[in-house]
Amino acid sequence: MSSEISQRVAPGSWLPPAVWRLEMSALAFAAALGASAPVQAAVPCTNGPTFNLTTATGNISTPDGNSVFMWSYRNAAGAAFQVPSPVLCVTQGQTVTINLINTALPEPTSIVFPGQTGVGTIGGSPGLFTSEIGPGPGTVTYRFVANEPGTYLYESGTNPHKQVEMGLYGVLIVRPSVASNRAYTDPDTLFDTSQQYLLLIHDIDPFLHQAVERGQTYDITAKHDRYWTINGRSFPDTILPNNDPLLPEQPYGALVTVDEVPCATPGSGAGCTPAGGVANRPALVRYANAGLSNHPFHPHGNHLRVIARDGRLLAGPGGAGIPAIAAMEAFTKTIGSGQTYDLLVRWINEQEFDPTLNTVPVVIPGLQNLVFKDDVTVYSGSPYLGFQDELPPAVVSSNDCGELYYPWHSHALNEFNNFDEGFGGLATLFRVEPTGGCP
Amino acid sequence: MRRSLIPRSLTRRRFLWGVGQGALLASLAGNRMAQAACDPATSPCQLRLVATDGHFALPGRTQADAATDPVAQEGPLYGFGFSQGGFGDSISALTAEHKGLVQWTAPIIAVDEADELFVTMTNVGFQYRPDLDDAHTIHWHGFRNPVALFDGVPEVSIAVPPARDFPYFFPPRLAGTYMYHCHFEDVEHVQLGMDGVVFVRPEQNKTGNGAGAPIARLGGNAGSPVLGYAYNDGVATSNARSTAYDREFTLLLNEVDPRPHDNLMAVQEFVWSDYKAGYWLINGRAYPHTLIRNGDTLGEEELLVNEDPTGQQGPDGSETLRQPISSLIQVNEGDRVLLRLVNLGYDQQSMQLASIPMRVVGEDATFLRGPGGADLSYVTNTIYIGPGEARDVLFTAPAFTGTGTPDILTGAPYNSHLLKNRNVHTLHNNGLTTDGLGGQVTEVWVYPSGTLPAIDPTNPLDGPNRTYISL
Repeated sequence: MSSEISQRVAPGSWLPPAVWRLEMSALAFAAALGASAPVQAAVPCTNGPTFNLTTATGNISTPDGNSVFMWSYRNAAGAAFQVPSPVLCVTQGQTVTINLINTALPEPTSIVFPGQTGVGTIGGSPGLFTSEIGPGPGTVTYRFVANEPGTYLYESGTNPHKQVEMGLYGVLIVRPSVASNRAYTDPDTLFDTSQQYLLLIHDIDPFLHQAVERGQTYDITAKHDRYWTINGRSFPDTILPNNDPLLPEQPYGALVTVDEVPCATPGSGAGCTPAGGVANRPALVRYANAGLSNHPFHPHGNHLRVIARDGRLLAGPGGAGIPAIAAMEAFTKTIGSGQTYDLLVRWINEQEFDPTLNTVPVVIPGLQNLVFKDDVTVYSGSPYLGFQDELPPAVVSSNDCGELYYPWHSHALNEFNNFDEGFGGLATLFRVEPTGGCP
Repeated sequence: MRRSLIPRSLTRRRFLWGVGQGALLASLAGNRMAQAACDPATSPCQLRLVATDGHFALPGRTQADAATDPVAQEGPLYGFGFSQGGFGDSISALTAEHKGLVQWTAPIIAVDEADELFVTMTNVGFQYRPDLDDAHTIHWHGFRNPVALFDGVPEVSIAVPPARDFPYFFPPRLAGTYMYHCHFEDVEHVQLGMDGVVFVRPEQNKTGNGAGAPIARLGGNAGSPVLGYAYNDGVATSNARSTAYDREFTLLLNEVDPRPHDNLMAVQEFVWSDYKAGYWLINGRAYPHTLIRNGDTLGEEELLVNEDPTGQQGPDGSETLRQPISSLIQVNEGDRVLLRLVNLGYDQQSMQLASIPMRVVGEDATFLRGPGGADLSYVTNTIYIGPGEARDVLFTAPAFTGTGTPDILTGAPYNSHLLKNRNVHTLHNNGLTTDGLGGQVTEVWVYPSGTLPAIDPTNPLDGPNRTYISL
């Protein structure tokens, strides 16, 4: 619904007026874009194998101008509150030690490591799932050997319906011991190490968080999600870079940037096979769903090659054979609550459109006859990768070098929202740069 | 919900058995094809899609309900949609012909692998909310490696305002089932109805393969025993892994929360995170409307709507059919049947054909074949499918049992197999049921061998979702 007329009503008194929030949609996108185009967000590892975590409380901001009270783990050595909790990175075979202190929360807490076996504990007090600590001084230690490479969650094992929702979750990445440029031991999982991304999903009912903040009771059966986050941020904040000063409590971006992969034989048309070589290796994208719902996650731009689920390679029948990966392509992957997937992605320039050699076979109308949503865009003005062209004077573009952008979002479109404001929520962008990247 | 009244005439009997003279009237009216027709004067395929608004009928929300039972609800539901227009028509001609007349769901688009598709989309504006200046786009969901200009996302390329059009270009490379929808304010425009199925037929239709799969009828071999292949399977048609089929049906799943539709008509906002479905649809219809056959004008009476949902006559005084795509699956025993399932709702669904094993051969336009040609297809009775996902499913129709229900329209006996959503709490129409059912339900009707004629691709009526009102 796009109207020049402002006849909207605010659905709740504590919310700002809806008209204002509608305008915020464009403003948030513009603010996220800033003066220049977004830059890629590499996985921000805290390297192990020993980690010192402590609980913390704070607020995150949402693109519609609200804030949400959260709990999380932070690195103990004086580091700031952050959502999500640190990304723990180790190498296969290492003995991983996590020391947890809980002085911030009003109740005991703990950490469980789904997918890890033989987790031992030292200290703390017995809890339902594992040893717990706090509130107050003291440390509980969890220790295990990271036997299998892959992407895993870690999360609270105490009152999880409340504590996981509140933000006590994070990701553990186990690199294969054989090589750091593979997702798994299998050589078919080679990826471009400059293009490794984490998309960690979470969903938020702000009224539950408000009740916890105020010490009120809440009805868990009434949980109704209003915000959805990737790496602790809702779109369009997801496309801001890591450690952006606008989001001090949400340090991790989620923009996925790749270089185009050209055809092996230029001009091969429909017979295009992607060029090989180190530079054309795919990006590695790690999905993890820490939310309490399943989310159908859909990239525009190209199919994903799904190589692993829950930290295990998708082995072929019998688990043997070369190549061993029974990877499947998909244009949507529904990620179950608590699941992880590892995916390889490339954008192949198979149409090879070029402004002189191979023009698009239609006459593009004058751009002033078309609409640029809210007059804020990342479009280059040109259909050709690596080229920019003039846009209507009122349109503000943040395109760097003719790169292309595609949304990457939940196809439960009610989640592609910040409360009631569209083009937000569970989404990020996929940025495709010309060969060699933007200068 | 104040839905105590059972709508007039809404019984399963009406659709399955017709009334006495139904067969004659229906056969005179003839069949109708559900697929969008390419401009016959051009090659490759050129299509015109027109974006506008209008109304459509759901059980409890029909024209008749509005006329006879003003308490029950507000009549046909408001929505947005695409309909097909003449490729060469002017914007003013398209506006005069289509404004306020949506099609639900959008026309089925079929294209051959390595061919090209040109779709010019024209935005003729809204008839019922002239205060809104919404733009529209076409997003081919799952298209590999598009350029952003043709990907249809307004925030990262362009959108098409009222009284303008835009030429989309799609050169598909890989076979399978995809979908298309508007991406402008998509949570609203997709829910309001701007969604359809697009699929790509494999090269093997035209070339056959050396392993024992002949050129298919869809590939131009009129005498072929195979209508088509779901994928370039590379095996003989006798192989258990063949994707050869004799009949094909597209089943687009979505849901309707009537509140945002009604709010739009009432010029009110909707909080989209409040979304909660009340209707569950296949091809834009709820059971038992799903069973109405293409061109069965008597059955389709239940779906006719006026331009004006209050029951007053519209500009030309006519009632029109906005939901033309049947979901009835009519097959002969032994037929190899391809179902192309697409979910463009916002909820995950679980579709069950309990009495016939189904083999899933494709997911998200990807042939389920692993390294070294390993067969990764699987047999199931229940298809779990998330929003934005697609499944290609084959089954072989079981033998006719020897005794069956007589089909009042064709006169031939058949056995019925229920295809339903196993999330059985959804099997109602916003609280109403017909004979205890509603929602995402349709039926597979299996006739004795030789009852239904073979699909003839040169017959303009013989597209996907071919149903028969006469033999």
